[in-house]
Amino acid sequence: MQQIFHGLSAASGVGIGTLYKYASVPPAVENSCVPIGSPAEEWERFLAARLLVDEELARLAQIGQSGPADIFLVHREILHDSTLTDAIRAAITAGFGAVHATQSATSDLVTLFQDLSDDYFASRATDIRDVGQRLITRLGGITSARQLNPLPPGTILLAEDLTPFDTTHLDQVNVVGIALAASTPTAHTAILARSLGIPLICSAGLEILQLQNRMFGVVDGIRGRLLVDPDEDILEQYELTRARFQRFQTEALSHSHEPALTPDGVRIPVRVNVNSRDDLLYIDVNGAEGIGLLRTEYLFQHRTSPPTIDEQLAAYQDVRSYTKDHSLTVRLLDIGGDKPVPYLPQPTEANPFLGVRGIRLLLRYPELLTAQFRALVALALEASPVSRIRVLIPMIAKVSEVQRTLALFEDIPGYELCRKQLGTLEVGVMIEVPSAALLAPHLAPLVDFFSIGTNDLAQYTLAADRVNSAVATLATPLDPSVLRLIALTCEAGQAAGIPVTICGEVAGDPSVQPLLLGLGLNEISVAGPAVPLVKSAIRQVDMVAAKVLAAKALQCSRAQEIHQLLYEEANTSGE
Amino acid sequence: MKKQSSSLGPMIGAVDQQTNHSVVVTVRNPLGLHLRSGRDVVRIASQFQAHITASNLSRNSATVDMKSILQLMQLQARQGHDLHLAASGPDAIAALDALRSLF
Repeated sequence: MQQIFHGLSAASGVGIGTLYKYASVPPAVENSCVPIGSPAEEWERFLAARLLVDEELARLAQIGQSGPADIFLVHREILHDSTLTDAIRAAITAGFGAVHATQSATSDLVTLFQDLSDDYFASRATDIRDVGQRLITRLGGITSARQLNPLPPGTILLAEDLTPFDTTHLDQVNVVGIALAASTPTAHTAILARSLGIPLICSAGLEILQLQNRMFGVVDGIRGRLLVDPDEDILEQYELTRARFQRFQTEALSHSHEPALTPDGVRIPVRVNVNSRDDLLYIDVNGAEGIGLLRTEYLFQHRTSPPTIDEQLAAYQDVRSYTKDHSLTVRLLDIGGDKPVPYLPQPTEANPFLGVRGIRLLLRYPELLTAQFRALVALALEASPVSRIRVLIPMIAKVSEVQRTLALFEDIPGYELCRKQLGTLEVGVMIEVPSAALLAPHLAPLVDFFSIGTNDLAQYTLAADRVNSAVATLATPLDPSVLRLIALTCEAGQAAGIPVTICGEVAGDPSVQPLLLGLGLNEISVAGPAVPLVKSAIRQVDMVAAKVLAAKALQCSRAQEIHQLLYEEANTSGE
Repeated sequence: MKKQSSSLGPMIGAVDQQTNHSVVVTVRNPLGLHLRSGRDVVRIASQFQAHITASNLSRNSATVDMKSILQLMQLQARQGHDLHLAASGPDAIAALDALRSLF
């Protein structure tokens, strides 16, 4: 009997194989087989293991975006923490081996944290366990990670959640797919799975842990589903999709430096979103046409005063050296009460995502806004119309916010020259608040482009926090409500003759390209690794069929119908 | 005489001995003193020679060492909680000044 479990797509692709359930257990006390040396020798062993773990964590911090990298930096902090180290040293001095000392020190701390009354702090036990596992593995002890490596070929891993340690230690050759009962697509495990190329779905529900080992299943990382004991015709389709996906990937890479032209000759620029310096490397390698979204928060955080105009200019010039003859879109500082900076006194907010953030904050600190803009005008003075600088205003909810912002810009020397005469500077707004999409016809005449941030647009439209796994499934950008807002934005852009670009996660899914282009989007900005596949997908899009598809999608009442439409589209074209 | 540090003073608290200082700060970060912000606190605290401790007045917590992230987490400090920071040592005042700015 075929069973289907719905979750969220966290790493794309199709995995077909047999189920294996993984339950993380506390590290087994296993020290009898390791001979124990003198306390001095055991301490040396511990220090050597700690050095290896430190290197491992430093390496992991290089992978992925800034968010997950932070986790590994915090784990390094725990690794070197005096409380942990002192406890291990005390146990070693008392005559225990390094493995046992590490095990008892970490498990004492894990227990202590699990008993804390506050959930956030109690769940830090996971971080301590993770660091402990790494140390014990390096010391040659037995940990639960042994259950993850080696695994039989064609394994689909089922778990409630995986720690980054689990993910980096699993059998990467033989695991063909992962389904997690909990977790979210933004968790570090999802980022690691994407970098390893293993299809992963999350938030699939605890029911998946009731399944038996060795059952046959399919992880559909494209649509976010787990199928168990699939019907024969469905399985055949998945085998085709898997083969196509693999072929597609190889082919996509070989053509990634060519422009993305639809068969009707519509050219769609594909750019990258940049969160950290690592992302800059994808531009050249994957043939991206510049940067569609440069987040600038990193320039402003972790310091006691705002960056000067010169400092900012130097940072933007550095980024521009990677975009060369392509445009560079820079989003103005987008912070709020969830990530306060020390030099901007902010009142405490109960709900920072609905509080003073983005342009609301910048308009309260006009000197901060104009300093950033001055640096960008200075950059635009060095640019050409082809390599123009596009400035994005974040979190616009009202027309007056755009008017007030532009009024501040008008006083800045060089602004009129660059924007009106040289064509080296453009100003656009983020469409990420439903009111901005609804007011798009009034915003369009004021600006040069729109950029739709589907992550926030979905979360604000559906009133669901997308990092809260209990409601994350609600905040899908493929909900008909969100698609209608996207369509409104595109219509307004077209009427005013300005391009509309999309920069949310959904844009990185090759299968949604027909829908996006059918809705009227003109430009795409995605995570670096997604560029080749997105370009390939665009080359298959028949614009007439895409418009029909978009019209059908806009008539749907439920997200599931839209998923079904996309699935049918993917299976009727291309094969 | 045993020292008695004032724990509820509004800002810089009582100066009992020449090198013992304390301050009460309110956690402003909406996420509380979580791992990432805690990491910054530990980083800064570790730059000073002074022995620096903290307790969470809002939770009646035990006193912990501010140079250890694992101890700091045990304060379970949430937004709005009042923390009592105490430092002793040659650079105690500078340490508290630097730490205050992080809350």
